[in-house]
Amino acid sequence: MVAQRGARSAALVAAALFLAAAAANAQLRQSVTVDAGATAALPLESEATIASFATAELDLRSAPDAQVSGRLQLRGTALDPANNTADEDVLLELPRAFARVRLPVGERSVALTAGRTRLTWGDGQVFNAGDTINGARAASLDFADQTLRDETVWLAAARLPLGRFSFVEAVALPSLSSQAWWEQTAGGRIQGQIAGVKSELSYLQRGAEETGEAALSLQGNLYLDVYTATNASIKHGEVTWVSSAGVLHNGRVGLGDWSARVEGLVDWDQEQVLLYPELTWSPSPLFSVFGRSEILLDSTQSNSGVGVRWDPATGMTLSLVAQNATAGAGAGATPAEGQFSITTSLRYVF
Amino acid sequence: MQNRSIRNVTMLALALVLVGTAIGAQTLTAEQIVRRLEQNRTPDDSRSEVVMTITDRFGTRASELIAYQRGDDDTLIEFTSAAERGQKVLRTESEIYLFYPDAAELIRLQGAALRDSMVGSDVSYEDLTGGRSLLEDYEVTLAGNESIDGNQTYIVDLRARSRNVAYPRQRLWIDAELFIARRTELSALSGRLLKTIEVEQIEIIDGRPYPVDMVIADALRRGSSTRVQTDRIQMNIGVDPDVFSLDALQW
Repeated sequence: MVAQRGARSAALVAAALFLAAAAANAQLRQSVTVDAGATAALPLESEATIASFATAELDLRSAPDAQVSGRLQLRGTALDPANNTADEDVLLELPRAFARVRLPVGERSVALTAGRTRLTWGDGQVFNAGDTINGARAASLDFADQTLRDETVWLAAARLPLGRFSFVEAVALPSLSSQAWWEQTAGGRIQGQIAGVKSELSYLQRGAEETGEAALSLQGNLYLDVYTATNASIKHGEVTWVSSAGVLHNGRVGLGDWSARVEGLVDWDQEQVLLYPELTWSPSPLFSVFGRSEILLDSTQSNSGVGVRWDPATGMTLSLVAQNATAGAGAGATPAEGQFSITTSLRYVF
Repeated sequence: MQNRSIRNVTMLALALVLVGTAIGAQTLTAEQIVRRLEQNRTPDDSRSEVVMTITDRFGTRASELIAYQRGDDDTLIEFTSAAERGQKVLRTESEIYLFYPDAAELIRLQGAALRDSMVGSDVSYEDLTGGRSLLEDYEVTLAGNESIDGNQTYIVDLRARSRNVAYPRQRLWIDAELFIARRTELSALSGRLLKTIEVEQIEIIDGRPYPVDMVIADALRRGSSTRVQTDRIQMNIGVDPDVFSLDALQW
């Protein structure tokens, strides 16, 4: 296992070095993100601890081209030896590696994507019942992260535009552990506007799990920007339902801009309701204060965070986020259950 | 004595020239001036490479972007600087689509969101495109003349005919030769100043004057300004209409 990981890490480093060297001559746009900081964890029933972290990310993208594009993203995370349960002190990941091409189909063109990337169906920042690929809710939420959901998958997708604001898309998510074709995962969606409402119908068949998921997502404006989705999961003739909805509005008060978002997720079978309120106030485009919370209604479970973010110079972000998770907080909340933590970090993109 | 006469004649001639120029400048009506301005305002389509620098009391942030424009309503902006690379904004007549590549998130905004600040700058989404003709939306009056940095300008006041505009009052300082606004004040119906635009540099591109360097300041944000510098612009090049589609936004 360790040998396999070592070989994989070596292969990733070799690929990164090769691509970085190629970047010197090829039409590549590269960027590096360094994120370093420390988290002070303050558990209720044990001693406080401080753990530092460091992440470096190399992002290589092809130069803008209307016909072909590609991206490779390599991320290395230095793990704290004192709290590390993994076999290695440095974790290497390949969140994105894909190529994309446009091929003519009659008078239109179809965009083909193959590799590892993120594909989001439906609408929703945290809860999205229309997102049958990544799930209606995140496996874990870290309010210190700038991007709350960043799951990526290996996929092959084809998108055919039907008009400016409509398209059909087919996707296959290859399973490396299943050989039989009926155990693979595949599906599609169609998106368009009906009477000014963005409407999306999707279906994903998960062969290995013998489950089919159909979803309908709608988005429109009723003074506020509103979106909703409902997902029916069908397994052996039994149907389970999950719904989500969200409201987003931006505005200005005397001393700056504000943005408010509220999302909800209802699991009709488990009779579970989750809420996600988020409020951001920005006295400046370079400085913002935010509060976020994931709350399981009819319980004491919640994961909440408040923080400040400051961009003092181009590419640089300083942040300070305090999080608190009550006992039994769901969704793999960070920090750990029953714990209060403060994370401070410096992020530089160049 | 003779010297004095020559000097008097010269002064008189100079005065006559100046008066003549002023009279000549006044012969255009406010409508004619605004019409000449609008002829210069929006090309059929364009592709420009822009550096946008936001400065306020909290610091400075520079963003590089490529902007495609078609007609009065369609704009696609793609950020190319490292921190925001791949982020895109599609502005159509009544909608905004924002695409964040890492989250693969496509956000559609409508209504009041059009008046929001674009990626935290002093520029709103509504400012991105020309919109309808000024003469359709505003009553215009000539308020006088003024020299800005040695350039003679017409001062034209605009008052909205309806409430369906972002800025009910505008005052433009329009260059009397180039017919481009060198300074703009955008105000609320009450007269409260909302935004100012100062053009720092104008270049003639394809026979049309274009503001390649301007500073936009949101009067409601203390000490905040956004400098918009156009490094390169190509006009009337036949930008593919498919550029302004969801397919291009997610590419």
